[in-house]
Amino acid sequence: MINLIKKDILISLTKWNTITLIFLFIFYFIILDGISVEKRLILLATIVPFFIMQISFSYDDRNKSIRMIRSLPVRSEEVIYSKYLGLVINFAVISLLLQLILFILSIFGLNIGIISWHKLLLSGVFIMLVTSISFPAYFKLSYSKSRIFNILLYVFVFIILNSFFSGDMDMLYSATKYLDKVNIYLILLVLVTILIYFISSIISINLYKTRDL
Amino acid sequence: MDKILEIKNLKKDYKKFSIKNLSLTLDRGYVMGFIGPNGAGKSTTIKLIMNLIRKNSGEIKLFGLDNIKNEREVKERIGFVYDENYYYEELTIDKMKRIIAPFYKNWSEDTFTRYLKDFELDKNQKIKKLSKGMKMKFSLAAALSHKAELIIMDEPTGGLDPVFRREIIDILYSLIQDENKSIFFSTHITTDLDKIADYVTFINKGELVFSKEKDEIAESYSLVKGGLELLNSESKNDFIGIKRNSFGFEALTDKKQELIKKYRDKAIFEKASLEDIMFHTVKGENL
Repeated sequence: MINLIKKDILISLTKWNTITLIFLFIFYFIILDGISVEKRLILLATIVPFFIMQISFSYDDRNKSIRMIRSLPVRSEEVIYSKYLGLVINFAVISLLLQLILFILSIFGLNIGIISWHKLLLSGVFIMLVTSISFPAYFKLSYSKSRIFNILLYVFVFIILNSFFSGDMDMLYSATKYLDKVNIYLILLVLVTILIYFISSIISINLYKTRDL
Repeated sequence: MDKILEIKNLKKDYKKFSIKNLSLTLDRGYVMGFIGPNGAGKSTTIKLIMNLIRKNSGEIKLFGLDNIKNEREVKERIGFVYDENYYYEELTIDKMKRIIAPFYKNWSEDTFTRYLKDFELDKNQKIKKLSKGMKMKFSLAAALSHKAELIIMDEPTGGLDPVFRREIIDILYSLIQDENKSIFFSTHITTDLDKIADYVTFINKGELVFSKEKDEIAESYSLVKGGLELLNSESKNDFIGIKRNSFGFEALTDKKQELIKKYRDKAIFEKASLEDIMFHTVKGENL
């Protein structure tokens, strides 16, 4: 399964995709000038894993490469699990990378901001919940058909996510007060999310196995 | 004999097409050509073997193992060559190889490099820049670099010019010198089989017409040519397909010896090529 995850990263980070990604980062930081560095970085950690997964899905779809992948010695279950696990790994790596960059900058006296771990964790929860809806749609409909549904889903989610951190949504913002440190509510939320994520992967496996390639 | 591929009563239903009770067997060290007209069910059968689509019923065994229950194990021992390119076009040959190689326990870097050299493929070339023939060669190089015991190919020569086709057939011919390797390949270009096939399986409209040794086919089938006066309601049963023209008729029969005695010097008997067999079987009597 690790080879499938590596494959997704390798095809996503080709030269032009990496350049596009860097360009988008810069553009993204400019347009969100009014928002704190922490919020921008958290949104970044949330967006990049989606970006990488979307590239891998679009490459698979464009080249019909799923047929090639399925002729390799892998089980259908592994193909699905690799996508679910890949997203979490991408998110974790990017989060750690951002924290590391901020730490190194702080050593040199450049304190541009901090990211609280619990907010990163909440973003991770958010990503996993959205993915729990988005991935089954992909495995049921294929990338090209599910793309519009998923784009609308992501736009909706990022508007909510942004409001969530900005405090625009009173109810959600109040809810975060219960989750502003590691406590039983946060642990429960993470556990329920993992369970939903797992159930979603089982649904995706069943949808994928019934699809003729 | 060591059975490499065994299909029993395979069924797959679509709305307008079905694979009906298909059965065939391929032994270790042999080459089987899988022929039939376009839409006969060749690609569907290969997809079923590779578990790319779900069967309705029946059994598929590779190396004596169920192809679904032991999916990973059997695919480790198969080299699969596609009818078109399904690799990532945006990547170079080398990057694509770096994706494929780790999946196989028996991947041989030396073998892959040797094939690239033999096939005159540049590892830094992007796949999208390769011609159809070169893509096919890359596909073959990848399929042959992990010590596969069975090579499955779906229309490998389709759409290739005669030079590339000949080259691909020559590569396959050199492969079969290794008696441990078996090849199962579909084609509608029947002349591809003349040089390399030991067995020929012919399907039409999802049904098995025959699965026989190539030499046996040559002995049992024959083209019959004669005057129209030989055709009557009784004699029609002697032929699989009849083509009438202004001089008489040309027909295919699988009762060669019987008809030689029956018609003696009234008809001419000629060797039927696989193309003749396919043509007359598909077109039937409606000519």
